[in-house]
This record gives sequence, C-alpha cells and structure tokens, in this order.
Amino acid sequence: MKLTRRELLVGGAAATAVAAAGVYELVDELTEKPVRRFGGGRAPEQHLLDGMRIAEDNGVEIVVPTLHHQIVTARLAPGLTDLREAQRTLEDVLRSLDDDYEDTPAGLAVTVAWGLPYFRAKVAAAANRHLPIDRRASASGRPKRALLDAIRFPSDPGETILEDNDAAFLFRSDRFEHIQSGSTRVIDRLDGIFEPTSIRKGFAGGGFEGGKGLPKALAQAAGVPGADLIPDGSELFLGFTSTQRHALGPPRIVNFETLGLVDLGPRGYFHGGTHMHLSHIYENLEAWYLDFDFAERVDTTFRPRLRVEPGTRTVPQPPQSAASPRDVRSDFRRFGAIGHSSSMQAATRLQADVMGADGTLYRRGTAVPQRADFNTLDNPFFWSSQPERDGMTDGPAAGLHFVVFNPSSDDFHRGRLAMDGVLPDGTRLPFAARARGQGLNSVLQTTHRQNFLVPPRRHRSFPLAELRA
Amino acid sequence: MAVYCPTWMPSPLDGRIGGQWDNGVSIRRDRSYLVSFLWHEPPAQDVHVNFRGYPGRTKMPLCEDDNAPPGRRRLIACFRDPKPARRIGRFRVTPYTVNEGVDQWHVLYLWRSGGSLFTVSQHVAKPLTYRRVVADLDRLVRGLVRVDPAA
Repeated sequence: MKLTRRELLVGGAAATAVAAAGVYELVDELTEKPVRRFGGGRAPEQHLLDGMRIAEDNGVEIVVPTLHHQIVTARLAPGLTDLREAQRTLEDVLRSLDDDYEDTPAGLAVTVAWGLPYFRAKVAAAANRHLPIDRRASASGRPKRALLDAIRFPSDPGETILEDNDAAFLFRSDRFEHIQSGSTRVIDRLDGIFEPTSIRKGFAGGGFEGGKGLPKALAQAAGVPGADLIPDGSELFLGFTSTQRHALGPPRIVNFETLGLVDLGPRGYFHGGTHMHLSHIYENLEAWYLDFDFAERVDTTFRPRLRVEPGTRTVPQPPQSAASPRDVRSDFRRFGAIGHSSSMQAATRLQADVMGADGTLYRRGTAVPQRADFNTLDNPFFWSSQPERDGMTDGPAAGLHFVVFNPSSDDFHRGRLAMDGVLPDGTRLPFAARARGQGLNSVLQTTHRQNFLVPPRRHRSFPLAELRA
Repeated sequence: MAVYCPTWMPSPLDGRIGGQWDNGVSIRRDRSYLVSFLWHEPPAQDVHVNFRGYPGRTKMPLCEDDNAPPGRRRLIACFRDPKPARRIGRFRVTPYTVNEGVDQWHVLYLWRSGGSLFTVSQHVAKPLTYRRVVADLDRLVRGLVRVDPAA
C-alpha cells in the first residue's frame, strides 16, 4: 500500500498507516534476506528472539539484528471495562500469529509491553501486589518498583515528551510483509479495545555481507542531510556496530529474576518478564561526520585515545576491558571527554561475577542491557494520533527508535545517567548539556521517552486482568 | 606563486575580491593566504567559500585544537578525515570533511601543485546539503584557472 507522507500526516487512519510502507518499502529491494537457522518452540520470554545469526567483522562477533522493525503504541479505548474479554481477544490474535510465523527473524517476533498508565488505571490493586520491586533502587529508601515513570536526563531537551501509553507492540522480522501483515491483524482485531497513538518504523544492518547497508542506502534514497557521509556497510547511521556479542546482554540476563535485582513478589507473576525503555532520538548526521573526525568519533563513542584503524566499523568491547568509574573520571580529567560506551560500562556491565537464577555464571564485565534499537526516517513517527503534540513534520529525518531491555527502570536510568557523566558511584562530571566532550550526546536530540514492563509470554495479554477483584 | 581563480562560483557568490560577497583577504607571515566569499541570510543560511594557498610547502598545515582540555595547547592537522583522492579536470584533489577554523563544517578539496598546497572549501549549511556542496566544489574546481604572477 502506498500513501504519501502528507496523506499519513494529515490524519490517515492508524489501521491504514500500520500497513503502509513509505520509504521503508525500499528495504526489501536493497537487501538479500540473511540465511537463518530456525529454532524450535517459543521461549517463555517475549523479549527473546530465536535463531539470531552471528556474523563477524574485524574479528568481533556480531549479533545480526533483524532488518525490519515496527512499534505501535496505544491507549485503551475509553469505556473499556471488560478486561477479561479484551485479554482473550488479544491473546487469541497473538496466538494466531504464533501459529503462522516462526519466532525467528525469518518469521515474526511480537513483544507486547505495558506502561504504568495501564497498571494504575485498570489493575491497580493487583499491580500493587504483583508488580516487581527493584531491590537495589529501594535500598536507600521507600520501595521502588521495577517499572518507573520515564524521566528526562541531563542531556535531554526540556521539550522531551514523557509519554503515557498503556501498551506498546514491538514487531521484528527480516521480512517487511510479515510485519505489515502481523501488525495489521493485531490492530484490526483490537479495534474498540485499543486506540493506536503512534506507529514507528525502521531498519538496521543489512550491510554485513557487503554493500552500503540499509542505513546509508535508505538515508540516501530519502535525501537525508549527511547521508552520503555514512560509511558503507554501517549497521546504524552513526557508523559503528552496536550489536557486538560482548556489548549485548546474554539472553536471559535481563529477566527480572536472573540477577536478583528484582523482588518478584508473592507469586512470581512476572517471572520471565523484563523492562523495556522506548525513546525516539533525532541524529544530526552532518554534525557527527563534519564536526568529529574518525578519531574523535572513536574517542567519544568508545573511549578517548582508543587506537582503532581508520574506517573500522566494529570495535571490540570484551568484558575484560570494561571501564570502571575510575577510568571514566580519569578520561575526563585528561581529555575533557568520555566515551559513550566506556561511561555506560560502569553502570551496565557486571562489576563482579554473578550466579544467575537461571544457573548461568555471569562473569564480571558481562553486559546487561539487550538493545533492540533501530534507525528510522520517521519524523519523529511514521504516524501519530496527536501530530501537533508529537511534532510530526513532513519529510524524512535521520533518527533512532531506541529500544532496550533491562531488569528495571532504575537499571536503565543508571546506564543513561552514566552516559551523561553521572556515574553510579555518585560522581557527576561537570558537562554542560550535550557538551562536545560527550560526543554522541552532542548530536542527539531525544523527543519522546517511556518505560514499559514486558510480561512473560504467558501473561503478555492484559497482565493481571484475571486477578482483578 | 601562482594562484587559482574561479570561473564559476555557487550562487549568489561571484568570486570578485572587493565585490558584494567579499568576506576578506588575509595573508599570514608565512605567506599563506585566505580569500573568503560569503552570502549570509539570518538566522543561519550561508553560502561560504574559502580559498587557501600555502606557497612553497606541501605539508599538512597545523591548527590549534579548539577542543583541547582547558589550559592545554594542542596542535592538530587543519584538515582531517580524508576521503579517497579524485581526479577533477586537471586537478587531483583529496576531499576532507572535518576541518578547522573558518573551514569548520566545510567540505574542503586539497591539491598540491608546483611545490605549494592549495585548498578550496564550502560550508555545508542551509540551504545546501553535503551532496550539493560536493557538486558545487566539483564544478568550481573544474573551472579553476591558474594565474601566474606577472614578471
């Protein structure tokens, strides 16, 4: 289905927009489908995707991201009272998708996440009892839940919108038509139950086997400023691979129960669940590539004075070289700059060996967050129910729909604060907002944020509704 | 030394020293020169082209690093992030995308001739894009005319 962007912006229906392709239609023309290994059965966790392929670049193992992504955020329809019926309807359509598609990149992965507005408005009593508590965040005061309201970070503009969606549906696949079909089925079936608030589309990778890769090819096709400066084969617009195996958490490390960060409550209702942060970020490609030379891009993406051969896309980040807060402070004193990765490693890598609840020994230096972010040309969304509030603008813009799974909101907040020089040991490096020494942060502009809870697959549809008094 | 004069400039610039869009001519003690042309429309629209020459030397010039930590002085190459060299007309130019001083946020073409180093750069700023600036510089360089000093 082809719609002009103008048609979408001036009030096209969500059901139409969800199946529309826009510029993303080019993705299937620009890539060959990777050969996938299929896995069997569906994991209890919604956030895991089976059959992810491992590639290698510069001697570094990379988890190959799915090519296509789509997110639909939604609010519950006003007047919805029969949650059990809504629960059955949603579960019915999700199961039908499970039956029709493999839970692999070649099929379709659907992750349903729920925001605090849902828990507060619809299942408040059950939520009070069963929403997980973040033990670490609660240690210094009153109990804090694993799911908190999103906050603005020091480098966020004051205008960053903190969203209040009831739910978010994340669709991932190597096949765009699977996403179109799957998301359309969900939205159509849930008519009268959900009212979509935004549709967000995007892409990642596609260049590991050679060629330009999707970010450059699509940015050039869309005429985005700075598109020609993106290095060929880049996984993302900013030129570096972000899905090195060592930079991503192992599969179940972000489960609420795995690291013991979270108290699951009396019945362990959300055992196998996790936390998801969703944001949209504009990326100023011309600023990144015309104001930072390659060495500076490495310095501020990874760590100052890291020696990397010019043109390298994938930079090793093994557990044994994870930076500590002390390293970050030292870098700041010596160079007036910190690395995006190294600053966050102090908060996002394990500081000691941990025996996980799943029986896995997670070694010191292991990454915890699992990123599922993808580039976009949405401006800022593909479709919005509130175009004025969301700042919907005609024409494409380089950006990132940032999706990451962590064991809790606080765990995400710690990592994101560290990116702004607020380290987990309490150190505050005196950066101005979006200072050049923060590298990446200086070319990013966050427009929207929200935190969600991702229930385990068994409770993915209207969690806690069956326990409502 | 010889200089290179444009026979084409991006609109509305006309390349006339002393003309409407003249943004200054400066010559340093080392005899290197900068000739600049600028059209500016507030708040932030520019068409800005700089010509530089470094007589008698071909080494990469060095600039103060404006981003050095406070209190520290550091010299860095004035032109960085080179792209593969290209042949444009009679010139073999190396494009640089990260540049210092008045060439900051410009795409800069550098070439060497007769034991001297020459550059021309154009600002990537609204209403222009990187792609448009590269096209402008290609056309500008193709039209450069060498002018030798009068005896």
